[in-house]
Amino acid sequence: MTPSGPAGPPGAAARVLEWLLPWPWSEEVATDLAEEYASREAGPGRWWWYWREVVSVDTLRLAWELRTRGGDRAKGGGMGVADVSRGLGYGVRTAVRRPGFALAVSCTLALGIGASATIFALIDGILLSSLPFPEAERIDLLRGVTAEGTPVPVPYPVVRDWEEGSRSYAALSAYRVVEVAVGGESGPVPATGELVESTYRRILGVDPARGRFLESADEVPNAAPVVVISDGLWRSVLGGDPAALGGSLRIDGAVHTVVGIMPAGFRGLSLESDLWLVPAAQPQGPLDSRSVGWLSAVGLLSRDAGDGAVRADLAALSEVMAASRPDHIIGVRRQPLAAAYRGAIGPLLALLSAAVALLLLIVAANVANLQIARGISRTRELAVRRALGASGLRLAGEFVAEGLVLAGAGGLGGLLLAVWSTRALVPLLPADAVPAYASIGINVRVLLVVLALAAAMALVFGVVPLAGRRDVAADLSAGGRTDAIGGRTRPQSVLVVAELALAMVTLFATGVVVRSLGAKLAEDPGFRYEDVLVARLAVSGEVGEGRRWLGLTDALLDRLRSLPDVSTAAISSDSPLRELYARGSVERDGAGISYFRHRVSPDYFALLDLPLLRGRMFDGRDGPEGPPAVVISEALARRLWPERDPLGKRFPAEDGPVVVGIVADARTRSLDLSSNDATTRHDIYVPIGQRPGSNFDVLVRTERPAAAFWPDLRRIVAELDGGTLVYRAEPMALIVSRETARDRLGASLLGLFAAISLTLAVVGTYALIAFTIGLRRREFAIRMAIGATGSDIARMVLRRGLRLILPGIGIGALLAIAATPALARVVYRVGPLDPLALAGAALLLLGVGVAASLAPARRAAATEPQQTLRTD
Amino acid sequence: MGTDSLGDLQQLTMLAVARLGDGAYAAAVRRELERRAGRSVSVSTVYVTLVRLEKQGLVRSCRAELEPGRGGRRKRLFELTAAGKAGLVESREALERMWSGLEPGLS
Repeated sequence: MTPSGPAGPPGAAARVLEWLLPWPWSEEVATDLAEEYASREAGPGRWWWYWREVVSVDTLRLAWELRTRGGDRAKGGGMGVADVSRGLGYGVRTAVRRPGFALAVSCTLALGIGASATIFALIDGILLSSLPFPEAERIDLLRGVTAEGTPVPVPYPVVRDWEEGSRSYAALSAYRVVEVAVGGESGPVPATGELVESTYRRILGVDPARGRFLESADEVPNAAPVVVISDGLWRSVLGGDPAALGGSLRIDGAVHTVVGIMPAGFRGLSLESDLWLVPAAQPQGPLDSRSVGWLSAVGLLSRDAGDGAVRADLAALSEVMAASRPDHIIGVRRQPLAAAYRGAIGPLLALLSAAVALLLLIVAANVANLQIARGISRTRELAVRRALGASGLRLAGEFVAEGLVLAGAGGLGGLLLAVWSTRALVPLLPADAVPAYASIGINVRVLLVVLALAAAMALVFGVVPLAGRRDVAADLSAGGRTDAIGGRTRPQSVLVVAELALAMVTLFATGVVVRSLGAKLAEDPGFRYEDVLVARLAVSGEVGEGRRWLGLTDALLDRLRSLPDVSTAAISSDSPLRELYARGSVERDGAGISYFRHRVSPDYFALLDLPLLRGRMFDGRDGPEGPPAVVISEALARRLWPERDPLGKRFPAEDGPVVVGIVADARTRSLDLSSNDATTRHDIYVPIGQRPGSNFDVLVRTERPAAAFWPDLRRIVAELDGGTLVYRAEPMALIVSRETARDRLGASLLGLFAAISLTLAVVGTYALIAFTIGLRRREFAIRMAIGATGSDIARMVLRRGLRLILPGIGIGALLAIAATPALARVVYRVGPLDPLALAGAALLLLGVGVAASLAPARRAAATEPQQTLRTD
Repeated sequence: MGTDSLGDLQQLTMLAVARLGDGAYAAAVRRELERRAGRSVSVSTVYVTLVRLEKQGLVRSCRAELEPGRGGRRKRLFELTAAGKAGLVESREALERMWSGLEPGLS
């Protein structure tokens, strides 16, 4: 905007004035201002002066005074409550009169608002809901970290060191989640428990509803075993009997005294625990060993502990630890509890929010475009009303009121859509992504978001058709003919190009995420999981881990193998991706090398199809009385004996077993290589017969469906030993698919948004082209009358389409490139600026866009010149 | 409407309207205020003041006749109502009562 010449005051400012004040005051104030303007010295100074006058507080006060005094109501100058309610009625009438338009707008709005509300409900439930402990924001999880940067459990004495050495934590407790068998009336049931210390109660800020929590007296060696149980377990297993307090409860066969019952709803830090034991009650490693890690810790930060102090504190603890190097752990790593609960799905939600924001922009652009088109076809009516004295504000008020009706319908539709889609979506969310305390649904906050979105859309609706259209005289003289307006579609073109560009960004992001998912699915886990079923067994205390254990497992494997359709059966201490693994580490040239230890029966390798590279698998020689033997993974073999033959060597840890075989690497902990390091592939396998354990996985390879197999398994186990518990039974394919659940969900939601965005953008393109050729009917007719052919006209229309689509793709590509840093957090083995995804998005948009231009082009080509010119 | 609600700017504006007679439109009122009272205010401020006085029934306004050479635009003319005149007189009298006998000491 440049200062205008001596001719008169700045036109834009005059229009603002006209818009603000009701007629005839707008004219009179302008007359006075023009007189003052003329008397001032020419130059930018008076240009600024005029603008300041127009937008001054007093002008606004004047507008308020004039509009609230009611004198000019009859002239249609002001806008008040009555106008709004009249507008609402008008809006309803218009909607009924033009159901097609109303339906298009409402549905578009419902889509945008519904999608936004759904994603917001997810964000609200997962990221914004408060954590279930009073001082949750100050709770940290503490773990050891190896030189390779892997977070690992630490030995019990190290947790004790932390408790004593830390200054930033007001309280600190050992922590570990365990799976146990709880003795019930009709045999044991599986339960999740936590190994914690007496300080845990203070950290979580919760007191037992009955009895007491664990105390330090329970932690001393050889103390009587006690347990604190959840309200749920008390009711389900102990029948809610008050006498259960002080009574006994069998846990993994051992008798514990119930000393406390937690309040209803409390499920511990894991959000799914039913009982709490001291670490010594379920040692997963030697209590006094400084070399075997099996615990993490949870701490409550002191109120006055700043970030810097905590960092210094942890550094000091790391230093103390580094001196003794327990289990090759070199440091402590803290993770705030909130991040642990919410972290898993955070990047995905961020991506989805971005996609839904783009979708909303496209919706707004589409609605704005529909309104502009409608405003143009109502040009004459609006011009007449303005000439009669209706102010811009008043007309805008009417449009807003009409918009409120349609946005209200759209908001309601969006709300229904959101109710339905959150219900449909919640069961699809990966279990590890949604903390158990989070409730996802439509609450007041989501309602407010819906309301705000609908109001914003109503505003877009009201203001857009009036923006920048003040030439009343020209509008009037154009009469009802609309071809004079044909050149005025620039704002609409800008909006459509923007829509296409935004759709391009979403399409590109979807492409990248889908390609990344494909890369993940194509990963070879290194073992064959199809047709493998896994269940976990907890043998009763009577079976123990001696001769009876061997007899039971032998008989179990024999009976399973004799079942029809079962080709192989094996047992192991753990199975791939089931998050139960034992770690160990060896020292080589001063550096610790960590590995994962699996205790397996001989058929384990064959069952999972782990190829033997050298030496032999386990066989009869590796029975309980045989010499200790070990099979190691290729990666570990190369790391330990880079230049020599590992076969026949003694493994430099454990009980020094002889290396008898080398198997190919497998991803036993995670399919995702990017989040792990080389230690993911460091595995050792030892014969389970030489080191029995009361809990183990049983694996079978069978083509029978899982549901048909479990009854057989339970029957066989019950016949062998009534006290043995079968739990965590699942097909291995399900375990593997769980690994990619988050990515699949992200890809499908993003794909859905991309599809909606694409549809809306293409509908916008189609609508604009169809609208323009409607306005240019006469022009086409004249062109054809003077010799243009139908295909000339069609080409013109197609060119018009391409002038929208190509800039849309270009700008969209630039935006997509700008967005790649955000994508980098969610991609796997695909560059965030994946050329294939970019090209694919561009081609798709081009193809669909051209297709959308074809129909109007064909219609334009079919123009009948004589008829058109005669009727106009 | 009592005179006690008449503010300083309101009184000055009404006096300007009275002085200008038939030619009392906002821009002229603004110049009169600047010239005689030394009060520099904007046209919008004058308008707000006048519209509020009109609401109180102290002034009234009408659209001026079309003048040649103004591009077909009209002014709004203001004049005092009887109540406005009475109010002005009343506030002047109140002031004079308060002033009487003070001149020698204050000036």
